[in-house]
Amino acid sequence: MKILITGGNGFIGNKLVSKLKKDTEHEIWVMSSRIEDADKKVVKADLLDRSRLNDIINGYDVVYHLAATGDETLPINELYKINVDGTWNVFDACLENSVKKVIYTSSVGIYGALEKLPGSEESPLNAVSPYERSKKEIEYYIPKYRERGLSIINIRPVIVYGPGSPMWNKIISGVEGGKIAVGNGTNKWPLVYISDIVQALVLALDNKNVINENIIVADNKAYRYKEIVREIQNNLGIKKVVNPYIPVSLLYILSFVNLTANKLLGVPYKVTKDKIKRFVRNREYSISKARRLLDYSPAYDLEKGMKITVDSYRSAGATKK
Amino acid sequence: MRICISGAGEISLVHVKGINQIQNAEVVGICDKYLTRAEMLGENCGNPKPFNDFEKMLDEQKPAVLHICTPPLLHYEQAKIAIDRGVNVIVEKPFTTNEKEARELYALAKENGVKICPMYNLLYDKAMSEISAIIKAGEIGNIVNVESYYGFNLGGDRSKYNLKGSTHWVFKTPGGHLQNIGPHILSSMLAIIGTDNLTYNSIAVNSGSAPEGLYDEYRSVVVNGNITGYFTLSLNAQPYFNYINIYGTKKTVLYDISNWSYVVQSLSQKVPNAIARAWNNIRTGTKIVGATLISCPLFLTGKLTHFTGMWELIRLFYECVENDTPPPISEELSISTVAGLETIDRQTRQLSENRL
Repeated sequence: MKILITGGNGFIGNKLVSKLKKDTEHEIWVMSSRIEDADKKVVKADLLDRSRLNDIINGYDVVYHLAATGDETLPINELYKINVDGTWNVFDACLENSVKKVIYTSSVGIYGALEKLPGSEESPLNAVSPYERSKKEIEYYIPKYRERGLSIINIRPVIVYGPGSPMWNKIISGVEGGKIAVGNGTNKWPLVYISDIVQALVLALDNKNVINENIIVADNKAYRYKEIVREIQNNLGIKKVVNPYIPVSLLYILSFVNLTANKLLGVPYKVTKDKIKRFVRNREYSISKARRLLDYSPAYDLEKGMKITVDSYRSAGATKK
Repeated sequence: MRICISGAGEISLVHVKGINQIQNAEVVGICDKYLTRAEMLGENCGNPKPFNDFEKMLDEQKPAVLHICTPPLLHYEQAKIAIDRGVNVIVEKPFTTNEKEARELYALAKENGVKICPMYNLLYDKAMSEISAIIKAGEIGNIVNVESYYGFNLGGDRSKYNLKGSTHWVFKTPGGHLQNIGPHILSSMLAIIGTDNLTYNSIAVNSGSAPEGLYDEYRSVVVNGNITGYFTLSLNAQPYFNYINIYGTKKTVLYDISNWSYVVQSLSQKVPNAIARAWNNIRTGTKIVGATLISCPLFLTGKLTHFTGMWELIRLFYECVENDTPPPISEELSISTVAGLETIDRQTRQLSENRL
């Protein structure tokens, strides 16, 4: 099969390309607007260039649409253009070119704060932040594209971690530096190791019986924030067990001070209420649908996954030790 | 009063804050290209029904007033559709991007018995309202000249106004930044010098902050009969200032728009010039300090923002709809502002072609 991957140079995309190239005979192409990569077959196109997308998507059997931005410092219009208009463009081009299957990565961010744990595919969509809302916007349109004949498998990953993740390198570096953590650390973070999300994405490709489904992909269980911090500390060889925690109420006061400084002095408003809420959310999701439909079974728990992640962080020379 | 909003961008939230202050007004529908953005805005006004189909919203919700807060290129089309359905319309600036469309909308509004109003909110800032009253009372004598200066910060590299290859609507709007920011200051100036017989002489340059092919500094000398006006739109000078200075035959008004303060200056004939000038300085200093002291608590409690004029204009427009009185902003001023910006844009582009 001829497969196109948008976002094939991102954290998940890179690993997916390697896996597909290593384990399958498929012809893999990566769509990128900028990056040239000698190890990949790259087709240059911009998500916002609708007519170019139409031309280049011609002839592909399957399209993985992973490209998106999570950069919430972007003006909301720009973020929506990339995540929403870009996705519409990809879906439209796939429809026009009769692509057999689209495997799209959404996010569990669309659920926002869960009303009931564990969350499932049917949980209400309470997205809060601009990124989460942009992903939720697509969810409104997926049924319409399906009605028009586009087969979309909608994978909703939880927080993905693994070696080479810029976000996790920052978190590990923060833990290593003894940075203050938010809340009391008992809230649950749903994680999935990079190889496991890639496993699910490959299973979605292989499984001919699964069409037009929304599927959450996560680890077997969610972990308390302090468990994650402790795991990172263990792997870093840090003896201190608990980083200092800052109460959420204090953070809200800080957020107010930040907002006032933003209004009066133009200081960037970084400690937003949304960010605080997102950080201390208690979230856990059921993966029974992924197990049932895709035969998905996570191979990495926190201990195993975080060891590889921290080892990679250390060997990359990012650690001070 | 049933209110609908089209466009759920940043400025719509400011409209919502104004609408929320009006007792009998209720937002019943918000339409945006993105449903989630309509929902997000709706969270600030009782979660009205979100739409992504403009006509469906008007047909289902049957508003008395529609606020058009979309990118400018949609203003004319949406206003036309709403007016055709008998809906009163407030249109964000720029009202339209050309005079022909503005005239058509007013003609259509008359035909359908509805009212329309551009959002020239600077005209209804507290200080500006007081200045208008001073002028009307003849306190400053005959107006000789009006200097208007409006600055704006395009922001850094990541600003939506400056992004390389930005998809922001301002770059797709004829006149670009001039049409986006110019209506405020031009409408304020024209409200003072009048709109009977206007001529414009305009120039513009790119002094370094605008993307290639666009301008960041606009100047125009505007003449109405024997009154002159200077229009300045500056996007590169930092820190930027916003002011209007009004020179009359008896007094001068110096209005600092950014800081919501103004002073009226005159030279008393009864005392020596030096004393009169010193007295002016003392009065100016006292007025500025006083205005600051009054403004501080208002600002800190959120009662004083750059948008109090907008909220007042919304209130007045609703009032005119309810009482069937003329809209707060006249048709002449509305159309003259659109025509003026179109002229400045045309003249500056012609100049650029001549340079080539």
